[in-house]
Amino acid sequence: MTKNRPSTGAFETAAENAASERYVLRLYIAGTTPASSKSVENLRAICEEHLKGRYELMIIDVFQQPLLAKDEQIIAVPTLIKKLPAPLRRIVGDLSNEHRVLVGLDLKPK
Amino acid sequence: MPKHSTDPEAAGPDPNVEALLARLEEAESTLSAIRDGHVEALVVSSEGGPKVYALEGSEHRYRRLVETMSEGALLVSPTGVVLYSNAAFADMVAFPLERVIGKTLAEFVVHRQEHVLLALLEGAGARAGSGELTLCGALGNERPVYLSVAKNSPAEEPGLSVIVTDLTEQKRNQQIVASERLANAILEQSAEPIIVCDVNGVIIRASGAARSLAGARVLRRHFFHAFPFQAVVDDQEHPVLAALRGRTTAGREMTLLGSRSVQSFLCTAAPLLDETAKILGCVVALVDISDRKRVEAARSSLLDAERAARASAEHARTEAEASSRAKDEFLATVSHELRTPLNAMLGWSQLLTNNTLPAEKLEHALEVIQRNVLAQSRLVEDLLDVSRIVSGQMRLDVQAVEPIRVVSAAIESAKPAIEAKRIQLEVHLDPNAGQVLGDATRVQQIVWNLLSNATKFTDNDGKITVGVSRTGGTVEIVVSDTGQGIEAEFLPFVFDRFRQADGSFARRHGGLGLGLAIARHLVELHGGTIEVESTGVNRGSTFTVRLPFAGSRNSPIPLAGLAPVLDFEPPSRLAAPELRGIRILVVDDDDDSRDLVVSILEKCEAITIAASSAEQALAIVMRDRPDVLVSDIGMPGMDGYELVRAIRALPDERAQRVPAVAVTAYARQEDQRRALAEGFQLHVAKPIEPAAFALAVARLSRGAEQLISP
Repeated sequence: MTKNRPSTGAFETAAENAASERYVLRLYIAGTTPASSKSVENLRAICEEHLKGRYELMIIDVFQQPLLAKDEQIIAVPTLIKKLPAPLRRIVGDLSNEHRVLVGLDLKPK
Repeated sequence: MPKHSTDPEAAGPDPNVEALLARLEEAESTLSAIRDGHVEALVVSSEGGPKVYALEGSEHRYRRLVETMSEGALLVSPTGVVLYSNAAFADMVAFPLERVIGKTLAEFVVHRQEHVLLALLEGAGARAGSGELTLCGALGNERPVYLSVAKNSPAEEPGLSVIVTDLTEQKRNQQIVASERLANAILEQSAEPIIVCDVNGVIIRASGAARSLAGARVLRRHFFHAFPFQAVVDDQEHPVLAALRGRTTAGREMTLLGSRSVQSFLCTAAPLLDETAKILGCVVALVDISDRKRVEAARSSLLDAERAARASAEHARTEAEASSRAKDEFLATVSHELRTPLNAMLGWSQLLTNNTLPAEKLEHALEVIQRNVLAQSRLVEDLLDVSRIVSGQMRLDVQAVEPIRVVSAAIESAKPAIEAKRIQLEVHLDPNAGQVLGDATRVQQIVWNLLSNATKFTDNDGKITVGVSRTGGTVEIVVSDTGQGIEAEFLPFVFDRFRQADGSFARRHGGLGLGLAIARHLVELHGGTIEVESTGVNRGSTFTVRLPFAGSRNSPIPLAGLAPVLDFEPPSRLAAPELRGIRILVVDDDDDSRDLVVSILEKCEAITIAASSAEQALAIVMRDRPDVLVSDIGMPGMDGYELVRAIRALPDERAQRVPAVAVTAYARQEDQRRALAEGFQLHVAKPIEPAAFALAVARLSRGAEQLISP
């Protein structure tokens, strides 16, 4: 795994930019479905590793809090939404692909 | 279908772009179909082939079960991250649900118990574990919970299913049970009666002491029935009622009427409140103070008795002091009254002894001495009368008495004193006044006392009026004067003993203040009344004696009773009787008294024989057969009574019948009676008035002569 190793200048720039920014994240899950559980576990691991101390995470069970899901036009769960910093990004799935998640969160260049 | 660009200036449509747009359009329509709920299931390709996800699937029911259950339900990752939480758990920790999922379970457990949680989660590695924990909520509030941890089957995603049961209620119940136990222990161990009532005053708990106090079943009974207390102070709200109205009463004293005795208690009652201050009932505690009260009562009654004893002693002392003071005053008066005439007597008799008096003064000296002796005799007479009155010994020798004659005799006695003050005397005697029943001597004494009083309080040249008349059933004797009168305030006390309007030493009038008291008493003994009227100071006074009328004058008035009056007769008015040649035996152990009697008799030319004892006298009687015997009564050895008894028992008739005169200081009426009963013919009280005495002896000797001579 090389994800913890900065390999390019662009990544460094992005990381530096991101390092100073505060993240507001929403994860929509559906009860105890395997993908939901996996997504929670994966996201928490990523946040603790890359955003420790500067993120605000809300995890919403669309079964128990359907009204909160409606606001964000959720179609499929699990869906992670990066509300801040802009631009808003959606990542659908159980967040097992760490690379994809990091890119989606602008923590890694494409 | 959207039309593609037909701008004439643009190049022709790119078939690739068109295809992409079409696919995008298709995807969007699919998505909106899904979003709008036109799709029931989604088919997702996976490694093992396509998987079908039903939007409302078979797990729906279980999910609903988990979502609605009151226990907290969690899905926790092997690393302790909360992957799922139901709303119940979020409520327990007071966090919004969206802030629970994603945190570690350790973040919701109090710090000191993190190791407990760890042990539980690790212990669950085998299969399942459970234990108690304390959760820490968003606001720092702690909540006891029971954690049940189950490890998911290896076939599934690794993780733990956790059920969290809130123990708050149960803990509270346990606490209640524990405190209940404590309360019961307190109730049972308490030596004092403790009672718990519900909101209606019905007893729901009672200590052992309370149960035995009530002596009957107390539970489910109303407090008032089980413990019929009575307030010591009325108008006070019963402590139980006050407590049920939310007020605490501390240490109110109340009494309980038991079957055998009254018990006293201090009653304390306080309301029993729930968390919202709603009154559930009350707790009553009683402290038995009966013993203390008994001790207090005993002590206070002891104090009362002591106080009463002290008060009565004080009262008695005051009385005694007053009585003693009155006695002292009286004694001082008596002493003064007795000394005054003595002073005159002593002084003048010394002058006589010295032979220094000129001849013309001699008669005056003797007159003064005699007057004072009479005054003193009268004092003693009065004292004796008072003594008789006080001891109830006053006796009346009751006969028909003609008031006119008695009053005349009294006037005769009083005349010298009246004339001495040049007081005008006016007498109105109704000859038809009739008779009264009484003791002539005493009636005469009454009148004499009134006259003496009038004379004493009337100035020179005043006037005294005496009247006797009959009014209906009474005979009135009125003595009025123009003297100094009586103050209205003193009028009610005029007849009291030892009372004189002017009690000061400087008072102008002598006397013991006994005359009017004696007069009243004598009048009352005669069944009569005595009244005094005075219109004021210097307006004179009028005394009115009313005695019951006893009939017209039809029987002679015996004058015998008048005899003692002779004692008071002024001596100068009597001529010395003739006793020439009469042999008189005089017996007295006191030389002076004997010599006086001998002198008086010899002055009347009697022949006297003197004896200093009764024994000697008896021998002389037997030997010389005297004509008259004059004997003292109180003598050492044989006394006067024995002597006269012995004489009356002599065989010689002449000696046996010798007339005997008792001359004695035993001056009471009963003494006189006894003397006569023992055999004396005459009783003369000391001091003797010489002329009167000589006269009496003369009469007796003549009577004896008549008696003896054939």
